[in-house]
Amino acid sequence: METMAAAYGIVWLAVVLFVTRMALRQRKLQRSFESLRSQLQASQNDDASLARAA
Amino acid sequence: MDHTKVRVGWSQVVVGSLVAVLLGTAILAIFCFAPTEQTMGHSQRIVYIHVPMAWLGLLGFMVMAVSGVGYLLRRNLAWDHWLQTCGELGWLCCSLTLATGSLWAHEAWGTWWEWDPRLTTSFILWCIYAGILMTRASVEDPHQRARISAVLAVLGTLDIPLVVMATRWFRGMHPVSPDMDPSMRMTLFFSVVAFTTFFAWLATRRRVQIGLENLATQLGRQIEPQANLA
Repeated sequence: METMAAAYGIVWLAVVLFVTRMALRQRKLQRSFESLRSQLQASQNDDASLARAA
Repeated sequence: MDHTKVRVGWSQVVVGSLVAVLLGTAILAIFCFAPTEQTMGHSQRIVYIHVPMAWLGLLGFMVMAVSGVGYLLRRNLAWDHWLQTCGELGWLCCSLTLATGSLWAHEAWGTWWEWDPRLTTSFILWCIYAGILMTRASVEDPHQRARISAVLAVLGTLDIPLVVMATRWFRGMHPVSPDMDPSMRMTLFFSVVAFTTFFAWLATRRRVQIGLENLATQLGRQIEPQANLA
C-alpha cells in the first residue's frame, strides 16, 4: 500500500512541479512583454519629441 | 487593447476540462474498477501509472526525433520548439518510469534496481534525454542548438527498438506481457489513453510558451538597439 502511495505521489508531485514551473515562466514572460512594450513606447516618444524639435 | 495579458479562450477551457474528466475517470478506474491482484496486492496498481509513463517516454523521444528531422529538412525553428517540448516532457516521463519501476521492483523482486536489459536500455534512454537537454542549455545560438539536438535525437532513436524488444531479445527479469484480468487490461488501456491525452495537452501549452519566449527574446534584440539610438 505504501509503495503504491509513493509511486502515485511521485508522479503527481512531478506533474505539479512541472505545471508550477510553466506558470512561473508564464509570469516571467508576461513581465518581459510588459517591459518590451514600455521600452518601445519610450523610444517612440523620444522619436516624436526629436521630430517636433526638428 | 492589452496584448500582454494572458487570455484563456473557451476552446482551451473545454479541452482542459475534458482532459481533467478523462484523467479523473482513469484514476477512479484504477482504484475502484480494477480488482486487487492476489500476489502483489495494492502495489500491483503501480502498473497503471508505470506503463503509461514508459509509453510516453518512448513516444516523446519519437516525436522529438521527427521534429529533429523536420528541422534538418526545413531549418525552421518551430520544429525545434516541438523538439524542446517533447524533450522536457519525455525526460520527465522517462524519469517517472524509472522511479515507479524501481518501486515496483522493490515489491516484486526485493531489490530497487537490477541491470536487466529492459531497465538498462531505459536508463540509456534517460541518459540520452538528459544529454540532449544539457547540450541545449549550453549552446547559445538557436540554429546551432537546433542542429545539434536534431542530430542527437535522430541518433538516439537507435535505443528505442532496444527498449521495446529488450524483453524478447534478451533474457531478463522484466515481465514480457503478463496475463491480466480483462478488467485490469481495460483499466490499463484507459489509463494509457488518459495520460497520453493529458501529456499531449501539456505539450501543446508548453509549445506555445516556448514560441512566445523565443518571440520575446527576438523582440528584445530588435528593440534594444532602437532604444540605444534614441
